[in-house]
Amino acid sequence: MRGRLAAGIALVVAGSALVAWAGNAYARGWLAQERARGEWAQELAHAEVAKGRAIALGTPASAPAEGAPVARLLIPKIALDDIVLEGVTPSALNGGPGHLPGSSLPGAEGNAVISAHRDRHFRRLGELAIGDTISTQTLGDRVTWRVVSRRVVNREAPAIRKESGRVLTLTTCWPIGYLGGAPDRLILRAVPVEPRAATAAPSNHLAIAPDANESPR
Amino acid sequence: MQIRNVLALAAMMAVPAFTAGAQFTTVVAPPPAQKQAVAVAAAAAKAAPSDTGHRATLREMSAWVDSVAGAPAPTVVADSATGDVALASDTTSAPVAARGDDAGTTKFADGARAPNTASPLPLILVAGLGALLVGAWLLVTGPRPEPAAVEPRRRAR
Repeated sequence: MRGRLAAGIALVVAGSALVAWAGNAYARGWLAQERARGEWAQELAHAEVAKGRAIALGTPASAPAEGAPVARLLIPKIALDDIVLEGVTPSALNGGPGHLPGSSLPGAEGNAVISAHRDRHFRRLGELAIGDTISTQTLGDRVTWRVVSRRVVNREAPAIRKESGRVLTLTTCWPIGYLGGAPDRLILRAVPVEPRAATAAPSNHLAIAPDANESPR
Repeated sequence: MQIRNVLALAAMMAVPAFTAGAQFTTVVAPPPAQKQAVAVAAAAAKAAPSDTGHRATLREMSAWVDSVAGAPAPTVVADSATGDVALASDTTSAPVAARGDDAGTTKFADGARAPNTASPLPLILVAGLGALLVGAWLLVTGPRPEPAAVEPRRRAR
């Protein structure tokens, strides 16, 4: 009787603590993404000024700080519209998809690697198939991509490669619907749909706002 | 026996004892055993400051020799996973897997693993909900206290 009561109270207390801890982490992630949306809108508003200043002063663009918004990622098929944050540490990934430091920014020459948690921002990434379109927006470029390969590899496999052209790589853990550790990784590789010259014009079939002041949703 | 005699006898027994004690204090202690010496040496070696320098491993000896002969100096690549320091002539010539810890890759490198994106939060959430439900079930379905102390009083009357 007394032992049952004590066990029940202990389980309720422990369970409440775990739920509160996880809920707090989810809430902080949601707040970080909302904050990034606001910062991204401001960055877009000042992007042209900053670009002109950098060109005038001849200062090279510095690497973004961890957690700073670096791009906007849109995948219409899975209704994804998130701000990509710099870094793939747990704290950065808690706030949104993370840009792998050292890789290219989406639209620049090279391989741009973006990763996200399989239980949040990329929870529907497995629905993408070859031929689906992805859109990215950085401070200086808008690019529409087409998925050209989709593969599941072991987590120890060397899945990240240098690329000569413009490539976008999206990664998340696999299998997506499981709890706990992930033995594999889902790797999606995409290339630009149109040549670079055409990317300056606003895309017709993707809802990227031409207005810099629009807040992404 | 008179008290005076008792005191005299006690004094006669005590004086030689004190003298003997003084003699014992001058006894030279035997040399420590060999085991103690070994233990002291081991403790001293343990207390001595350890060498914090990294072990250097040379790879691609021919390329390294060439670089020493006139080519640019080799790049020092620190491997955080092992603590070793390796000398590599060109870090971009061959794919180098970015070996990290269990947290996964955190920086781009050719041949690196994909970042670890498995979050423990869903598992924690499910475990917490499970514990909460089981605990609530234990509390709700437990044996309730009986409405006691009414019947005995009636009997007592």
